[in-house]
Amino acid sequence: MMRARAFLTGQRRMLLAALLLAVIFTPAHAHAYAGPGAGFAVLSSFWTLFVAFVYSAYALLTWPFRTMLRLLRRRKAFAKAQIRRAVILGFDGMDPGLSARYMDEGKLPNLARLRDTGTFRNLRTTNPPISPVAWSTFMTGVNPGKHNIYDFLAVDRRSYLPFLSSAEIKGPKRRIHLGKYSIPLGKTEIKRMRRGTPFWHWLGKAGIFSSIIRVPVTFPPEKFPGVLLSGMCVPDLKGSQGTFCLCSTAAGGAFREGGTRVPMARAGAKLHSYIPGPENPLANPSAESPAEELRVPFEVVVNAAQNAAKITVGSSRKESFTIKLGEYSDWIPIEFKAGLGLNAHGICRFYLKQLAPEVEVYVTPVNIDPAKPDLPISHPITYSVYLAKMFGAFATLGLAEDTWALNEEVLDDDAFLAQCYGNHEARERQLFDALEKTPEGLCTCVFDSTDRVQHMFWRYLEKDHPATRGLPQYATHSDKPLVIENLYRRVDELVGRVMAKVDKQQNGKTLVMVISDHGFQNFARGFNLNAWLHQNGYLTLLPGKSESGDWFEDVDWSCTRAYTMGLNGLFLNMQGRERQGIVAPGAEAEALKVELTAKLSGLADTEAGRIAISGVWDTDDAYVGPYVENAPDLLIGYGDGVRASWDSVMGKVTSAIFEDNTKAWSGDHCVDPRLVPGVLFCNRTIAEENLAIVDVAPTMLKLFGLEPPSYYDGKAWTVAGIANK
Amino acid sequence: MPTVLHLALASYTAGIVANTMVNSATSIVTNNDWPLIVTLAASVIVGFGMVVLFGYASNQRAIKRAKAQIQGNLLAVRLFQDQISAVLKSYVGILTSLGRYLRLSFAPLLIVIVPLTLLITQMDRYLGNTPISPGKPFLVKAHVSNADTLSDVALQDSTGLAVPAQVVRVPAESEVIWRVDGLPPGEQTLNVVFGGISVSKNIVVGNGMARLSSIRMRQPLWKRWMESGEPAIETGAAVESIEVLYPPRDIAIFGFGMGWLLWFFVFSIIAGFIFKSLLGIEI
Repeated sequence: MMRARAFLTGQRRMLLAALLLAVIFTPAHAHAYAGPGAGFAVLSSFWTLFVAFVYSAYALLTWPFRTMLRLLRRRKAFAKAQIRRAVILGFDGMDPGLSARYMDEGKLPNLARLRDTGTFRNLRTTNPPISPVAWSTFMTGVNPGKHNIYDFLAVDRRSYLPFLSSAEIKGPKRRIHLGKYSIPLGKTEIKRMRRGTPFWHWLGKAGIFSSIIRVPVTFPPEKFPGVLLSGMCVPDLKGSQGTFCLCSTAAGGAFREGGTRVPMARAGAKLHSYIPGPENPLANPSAESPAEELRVPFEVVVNAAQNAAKITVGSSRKESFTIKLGEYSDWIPIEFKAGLGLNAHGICRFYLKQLAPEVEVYVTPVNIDPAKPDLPISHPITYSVYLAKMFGAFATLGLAEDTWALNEEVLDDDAFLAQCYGNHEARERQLFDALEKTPEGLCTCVFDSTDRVQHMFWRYLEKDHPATRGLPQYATHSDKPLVIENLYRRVDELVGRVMAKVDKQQNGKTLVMVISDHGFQNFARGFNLNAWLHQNGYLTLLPGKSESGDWFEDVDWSCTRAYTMGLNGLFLNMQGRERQGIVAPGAEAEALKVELTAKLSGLADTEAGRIAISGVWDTDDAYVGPYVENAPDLLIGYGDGVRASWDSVMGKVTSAIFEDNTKAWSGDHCVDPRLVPGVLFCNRTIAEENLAIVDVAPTMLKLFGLEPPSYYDGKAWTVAGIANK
Repeated sequence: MPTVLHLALASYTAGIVANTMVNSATSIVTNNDWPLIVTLAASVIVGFGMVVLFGYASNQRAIKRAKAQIQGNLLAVRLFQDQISAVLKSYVGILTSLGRYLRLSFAPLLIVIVPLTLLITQMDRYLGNTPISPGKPFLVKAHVSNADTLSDVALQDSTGLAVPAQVVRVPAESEVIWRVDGLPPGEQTLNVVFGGISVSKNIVVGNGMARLSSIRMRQPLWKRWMESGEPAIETGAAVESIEVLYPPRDIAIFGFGMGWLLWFFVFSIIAGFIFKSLLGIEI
């Protein structure tokens, strides 16, 4: 391209122009045509104008009717409305303690202005204080017993195995087998597990438009009068919650979770590897040949002198690009070819991790391509296409920031931060576009970077975190990087820009809220509840075993009364519910819950001098609603600095009950909810003192002049200082 | 996921298309329909060449971006149809992006248009018209420098004998037009004679495909390159041009006939569309 552009400069350009003029002014009919280039340009231009004209005509002709309908509906909605627009900025995990500290230190001027002129409060979170639970409560206005989300994972009571709590993706039930192909008869079924109705649906019914961007647990997207881009819980193309791959010339062990290692073979000056994809949906697996994994090959040519590598992806249609050491590529579109013309479309980024002595390339999880979504990730489905066309490809995976890669030391701090902030900037562009497109109604956008960065960099806030112990560069506390402080500064700067935009667009008529679903705290010690249950006689291993494998391998269910999986739930092995349950429902179960609550409450980590568990709750008391039976039996509230250990979360029984957490994932919030409230800022004053995330939905409905449904658990706040329309 | 119905429909359609293509190909070969074959072959080759050249000469990234912006703004019109301000901004975006796209396409077109125009001109010699049918009447038109001498201009064959023809003289245009009754098959030469100076004109009589030059003229080389295929008329001659009106050629496909250039337009766009997809080039 550069050569071509250079060719078109100076005298050559003049010469070409002269030739073109000669051609144009030569009177022969044949010259009207200049090949496919001109043909396509002319055709596409006319096509575009035609489509635009059709849209215009449609919009113009239907405008009076639509406006009339809208006015009729809005008159009803806005008749009692106190606001014309609400902007909710969600910052997952933004901590009120840190916010207050940085504001007091003068580092967050925009948030401080909101605090001084409006409201700044703690926002009571859900129990457990986990993002999918809390954001589900935020949008539905009900407790988990009514929305059915209790954790990232839920337990299959028949197999004791985990499944994703928010959505279930099933392939077609019937297939036809033709030779090596197994052709599905029907579509992939995506079942939404979250119950309850998001409050923007009620707004939509009243004719109020909403733009909802990346609110967790909105996959699969539901139909409503507005646009929505799904957030946390959107899978990658493999169907997982994010599987990175490390392509390396060096041999190495497998990663425990979140990633795969792929060999990179040398062939002369080139290195060959591949990106693993989903299983071939058309493959006809048999006993002899298991499910076939789709792959996209790529080759790497190292340029040692420039500390860079040229990467060419794909087999038939190739995409080439060059990246330098320690840099990411743009989002690269890739196609997994299943056969019979069926392709799966994804996007990923490449990171050149190492060039010598071994060559290592990190590839992000393959995200669903927003421009060609194979699964619905937005409503309408064209909304993600629109965003991709306008602003370029963007991460669509629910947990887009690859915390596993940093945990496994595949990425270093800087590479992880670059990935986080790349996603954050894309989200900012989407937010500001939504602000433009939503002059009235609701605009909500949730940013995940606050959660991910605090999870991974909390270690730098602590004086003696196990993950930073022994690192010479952090010999003194003041030497530690200011990653989290910079994160809050970035949030503050974004809030400032949004406020400026809002003031410019609608002075005084827009309500702005900054909220978080929970706060954060230190995660220095891991508590293996399964190990504790084992050592206290509630969980039994098979004879001869002192530890179990993941997901309760080697657990003797016939003698086990309680177990845990996930972050805060404790389950009784109940008769009639669990496949091998032994605890009788009723009095025995109640007695066991009382016994466990008594033993676990206040449990101390004597080695670290901490209270390991500061609260235990019976879900029969904590929750109300039709889905309580799906909830764990007890909720464990971990104390300051403690969380469920990595092994405990994965249903593994270890010999040690407590362990140091030496992973980069060093901050957490899956603890006693009283320790990690969320945050609320508002540009208006709110009369009530004790605010909870469950109150947001009824408050929004009330502000827009709607009566909150009677089944809501939250109470609408009294918001003052709203300028009426 | 494809269902059995989809697959059956796809197979049925593919069968019909394949059958039609085989029948057409057989018909073309057995009928020696060379104009169609040449047009098809030229379209495929030109489609490929132009796509490659366009890809090389254009800023692919910027074209892709401009096209994406057009598509994005079109989607915005649909997505936010109740937000009048958003719709209006999207229209502005469509027009702006369209302008950018055309500007980006223009630079590579400068490169592409030159060889293609020359190529099309030469192909038009073979495919634009049919030769004069043997024995069928046709018109020959001579343009002279002085309208007063029109009655002295004569038409002769290669042996110097007068060619039997009806004559119309148009003083206002300084033109003489002969309606020649018919000539035998083969390459013939007619002479337009005035004041003892004879200017010859090549005429092709027959069927099939041949290189035809409709006009012989005195104009400079570049103009003759574009319009004529014969040497320039000498400077001293009073005759400025001689033109033979060959019938235009229609190429028929499935009974639908039109000029080769239109078929070329259609086929080369189809070829270009296929090659651009195969080569991953944005047009």
